[in-house]
Amino acid sequence: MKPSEAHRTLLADRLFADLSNEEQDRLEAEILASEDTAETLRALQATLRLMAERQRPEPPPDVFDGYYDRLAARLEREAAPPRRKDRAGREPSRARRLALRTSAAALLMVVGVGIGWLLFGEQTASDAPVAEQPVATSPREEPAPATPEEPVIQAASLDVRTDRYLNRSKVLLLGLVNLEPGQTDSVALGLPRKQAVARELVDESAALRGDLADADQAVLRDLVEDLEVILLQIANLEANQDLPAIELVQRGVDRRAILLKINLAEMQGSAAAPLSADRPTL
Amino acid sequence: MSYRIDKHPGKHSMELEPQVASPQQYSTPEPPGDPFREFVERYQRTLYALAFDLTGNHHDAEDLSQEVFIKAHRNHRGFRGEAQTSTWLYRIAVNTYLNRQRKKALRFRQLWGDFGDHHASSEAVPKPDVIAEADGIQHHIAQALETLSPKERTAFVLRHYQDLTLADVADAMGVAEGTMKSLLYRATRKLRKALAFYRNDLGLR
Repeated sequence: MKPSEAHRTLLADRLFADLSNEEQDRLEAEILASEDTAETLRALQATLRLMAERQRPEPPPDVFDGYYDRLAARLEREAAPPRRKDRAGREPSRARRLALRTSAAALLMVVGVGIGWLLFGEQTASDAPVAEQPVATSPREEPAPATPEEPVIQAASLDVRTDRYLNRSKVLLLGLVNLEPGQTDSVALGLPRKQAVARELVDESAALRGDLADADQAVLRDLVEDLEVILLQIANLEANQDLPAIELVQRGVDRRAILLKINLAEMQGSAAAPLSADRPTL
Repeated sequence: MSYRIDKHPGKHSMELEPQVASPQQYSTPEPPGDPFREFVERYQRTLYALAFDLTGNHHDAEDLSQEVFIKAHRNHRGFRGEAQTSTWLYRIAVNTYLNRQRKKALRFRQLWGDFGDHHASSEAVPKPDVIAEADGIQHHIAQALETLSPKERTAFVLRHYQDLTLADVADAMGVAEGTMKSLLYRATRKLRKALAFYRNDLGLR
């Protein structure tokens, strides 16, 4: 039986109020007068004893190395004037601008090669293809990279991580949203595997969100946040089939057009950078 | 059976070091100067520990603690010295954390619309398959904390892991003491329910 309102007040006072020993003894005597309330008190005290066993894990060793420097950098970023936004209202990051320039240059080269093939590709071997002439001359210089290499490597790393994350999330969500209504075969559902993947992705999302925020990729960060919500829901599905909750996930995905947003993000990413060779699968 | 919940100063909370830098002792808003650095270095571990207790993971803990320092830096002129610096920082931390969680809840509602305010994290009651993979009691405790609402978690963490008095917790959260006791009571009942799966193993009743 649940304690009455008066007894709940007694219990709350006994457990949490800053009382003298005498006051605690008085309250306890009142509480013990009711067996149900006494039982509740013992149970809650046992719970608090257990929670007191919590040990806060040590932070990673490098958290406080450079903590102030990271904070100062963040302060400066927040104090900086807002960047010019593109026509879509986004603020393209430096990495994205570089990636767009590189892809535009690559596209022009492909178009040029294509035109050359169309114009000169039908010629016989006896002809001296115009394209071969430059071989006799001094080799062309390779275009210098527009920016130092390190930022490109770092940008590619975040892009690759984001691409992997979105691809894995998409595969996971497609596996759920395409379930036939009324399907109850738990083997076909493959829920435990899906939940494990969802938990991995949730663990990854906190760091990814932060890095995307640092790289001013607000749209992608928001998408990762939306995905995190859905992935948490998937991770907490019942081990046996939990059809109402699965339907909730399906509706959430549809309502927010999550899969469309992932596709758009992937298209923008593939337009800006080469496809990653390492395509993760579930 | 009589049992008193004794406070364990130092077991969970970092003892606050003597205040040697208050917000009013530095006056350069942009860029931050040495006094602000001293202020940050003095409180960063305490604030980080609180942020970790609230968020449950290191990445969000650093993010939250830095945001608190940024707000403290912006609002230092509003600090009149009417409270200890630590109390002032706690208030900023609590408000920042609760605001973030409200925004997250709004996102949940936007996702599920008519299907209600569905806090996946607040309903993360450990399932048997999760328990089977759990890494012992610490994992169970962390999972149990995830079942609390943001306000309940804040109240519980401040009271039991930061060792604040009831009055200080109520002050940090901007609520009356009676409301605080109700929050703590609800939180403890939820934790008891969340820990029910392994109650027998852990000797809980």
